[in-house]
Amino acid sequence: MSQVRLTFLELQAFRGFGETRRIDLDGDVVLIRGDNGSGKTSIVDGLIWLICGELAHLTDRVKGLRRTEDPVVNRYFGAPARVRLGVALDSDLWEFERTGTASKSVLAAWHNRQTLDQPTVALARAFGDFTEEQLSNALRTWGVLRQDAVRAALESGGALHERLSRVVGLERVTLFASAATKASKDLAAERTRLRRIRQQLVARYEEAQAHLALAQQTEGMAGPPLVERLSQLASTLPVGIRLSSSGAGSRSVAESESASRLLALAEDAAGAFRAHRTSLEAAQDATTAVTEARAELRSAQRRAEAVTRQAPLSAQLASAALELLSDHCPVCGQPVDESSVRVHLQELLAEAKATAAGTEQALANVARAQARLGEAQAAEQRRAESSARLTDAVERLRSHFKAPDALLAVDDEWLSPAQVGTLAEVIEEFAERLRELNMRRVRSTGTVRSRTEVEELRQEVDRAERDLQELEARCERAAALDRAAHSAAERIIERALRRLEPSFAEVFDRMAPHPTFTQLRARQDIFYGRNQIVPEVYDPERRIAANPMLIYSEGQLNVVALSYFLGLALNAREGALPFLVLDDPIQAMDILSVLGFADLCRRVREDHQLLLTMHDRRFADLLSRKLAPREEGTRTILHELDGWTREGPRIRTSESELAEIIPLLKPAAS
Amino acid sequence: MSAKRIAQLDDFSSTLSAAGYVVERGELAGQAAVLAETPYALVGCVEADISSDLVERISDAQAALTHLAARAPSPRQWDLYLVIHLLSAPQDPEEEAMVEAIEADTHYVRKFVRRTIDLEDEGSLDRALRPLLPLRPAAEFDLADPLDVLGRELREASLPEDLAARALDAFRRGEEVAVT
Repeated sequence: MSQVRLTFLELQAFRGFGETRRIDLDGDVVLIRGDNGSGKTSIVDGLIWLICGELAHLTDRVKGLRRTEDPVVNRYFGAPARVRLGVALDSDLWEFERTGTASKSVLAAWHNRQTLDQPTVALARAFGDFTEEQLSNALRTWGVLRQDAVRAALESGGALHERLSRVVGLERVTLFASAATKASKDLAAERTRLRRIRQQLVARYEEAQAHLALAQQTEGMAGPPLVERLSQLASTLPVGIRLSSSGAGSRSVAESESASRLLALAEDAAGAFRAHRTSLEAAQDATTAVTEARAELRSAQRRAEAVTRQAPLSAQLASAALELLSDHCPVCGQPVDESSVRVHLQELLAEAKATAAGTEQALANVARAQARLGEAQAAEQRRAESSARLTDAVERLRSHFKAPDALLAVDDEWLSPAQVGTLAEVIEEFAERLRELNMRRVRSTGTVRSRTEVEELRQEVDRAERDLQELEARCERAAALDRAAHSAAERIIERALRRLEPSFAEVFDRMAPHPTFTQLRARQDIFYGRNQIVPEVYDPERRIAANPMLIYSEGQLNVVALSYFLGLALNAREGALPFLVLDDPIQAMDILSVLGFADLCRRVREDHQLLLTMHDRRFADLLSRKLAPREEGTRTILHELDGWTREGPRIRTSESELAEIIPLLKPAAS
Repeated sequence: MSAKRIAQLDDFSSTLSAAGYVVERGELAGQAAVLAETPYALVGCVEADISSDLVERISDAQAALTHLAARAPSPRQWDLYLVIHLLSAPQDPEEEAMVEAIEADTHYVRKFVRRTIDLEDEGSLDRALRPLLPLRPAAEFDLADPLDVLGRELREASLPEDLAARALDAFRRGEEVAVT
């Protein structure tokens, strides 16, 4: 049966290729050998870039770093990079060429040298019944084995699950399970949000309830209505004071402007009255003090004048006589009793000194009496002023009570200076009780508002509760669906795995990497709500299973990776590609595994064009011999990349000749 | 537990013949053998017991196979295989090591040592000869519409009525899974 095959790949200014190099791919086995860095992987990348238009694995490698250079364009030759691919089916020939850079490239296509209008569609169709996206997916999933990618898939059970799902057409099953998980998570998040809202509403509701209770307690909801209270209040007023006809009965009386003005006037009058009363008392005291002070002042002044006149002369005479005193009189010369005279003179001198002191005291008394007199006169003046102010206050009150919007009506006898103090007290007390009454009215209004708010909040809480209950039920259903979907996907995938196991064994058994863990399986696991496939190897004699990631060597793990990759690729059904590209599949393998791989390739080449790269020369020679054509119509090409310069790799191409095999055995007679 | 049914050389012959080999019963260095060939391989199958002269007997058999291939020189001389069916299993680590050493020696002939193949164990002979057999056909999946399969599975789960059906319908319409 005819099969689509790749015929050549031409690279220019692409990755490790500078000058144009055309690589012949028109064989059923193409071996590309080269040392590390010789350009093998550039060839594989060229094929991926041409078909997919990107090299995601390279972009991922520098993810998070500042972009400094184009990963596609050759550093020595510069943009644009160019890759051309030949594809053949019998005598039909297609050519596809992509030029550009990693971020922007253009694809062109020719069929039997005729340019095609829709190159991407033509490319997809050239390999089967693919869309562009399907072709890209197929190439990345089972068309090209990049050892690191497959190993990474092994290490991440989710990635292996994804690969397997694609191969057996179960993407939609796992997508549904993922969508069910998302729906469940979204609902759970919504439930958390609603719970928080309900919690806030309940808190507000409880707070409003507490406010209402307090307001009700303060306001005393059982008391009489406001008007009645106002009347009760007015009834306590003394005779001659009453509510005016305009004020009585008004619910707003308590907060009327008139009440405020009255209160202000009353406070003013009360202040004036208190000041007048104080000044009056002070003035009365002062009147007595003035009389006493005036008498005292006169007496003090007289006394002071007398002592001031006498005292200094007596003192001077007594002092001089004492100095001249002897037993004879200094004036007449007669003998005198000196001691008696001295005593007398000393008494006179002492008396004079006492008189001088009395004079000082008298003068001080005069000054004090004068001060008291001044104070008394000032008090009298203050009394006169306060009296005038009181009269003014009384007049203002009188005017107020005559006003049409006056709150109170007051008889004239209350409006005398003598009564105004009492009137003011009455008004102040009345105003105080009026304020209290007003406060209660305000509280009562607030209570009504609180009650409405509490009711509205209760309704909101009820609504939130109902919404939450409904959402809880939806969450439960979503969680049940999520669990059931994953469980169903698990069973479906499990069955697929059992069917796929022989395909894994096809590869694994031929390469036999381990002496005791000789069977390769794949185990389904759901980890953190995600379906995963865990690699597993099995010792059938001891019946022990193990994860090869933990017990196998690097080379043995490469066999595991190759087994899964090829096992899946060989089962790709309608999504299968006509070629398989294996980039250095035998690295780190031992000779037995490589021999097994060679035998495997002989079988795989029957249905797929094989493109193999490797760096080990010994194994390349071995594969070259093992895969040399033995039948007509087969072709094995070996490209040896035997050096690399800035212009690109040096490529030496050879081709194994068809070997003639002479049969040694005779077919048994049937 | 059923008794073992150990594979005979005729069973090897049948399996290889079915796989497209030209098969002949013969002998290798005096040991009864099945010989089989394709353009890619010349195969000899012999039976043996674990014994002290096992290595020597296998060496003789591989020499005989090499001589047979040399009768018509070709690149196929690189593709000689000897399948040794051990009728008794190795009993100790020493015997295990001996078996491993035989397989590891790839000079002249690639050797596969297989231990007491029990035909009651389904596919055991195919497994033993796998490296020499063609690839088996790909697995078959009856998945015309995977969501139908999923729907059948979900019906078996005790979910509320219509929940799964509505969710699947929404998903089929390209919407997200909606749970009402």
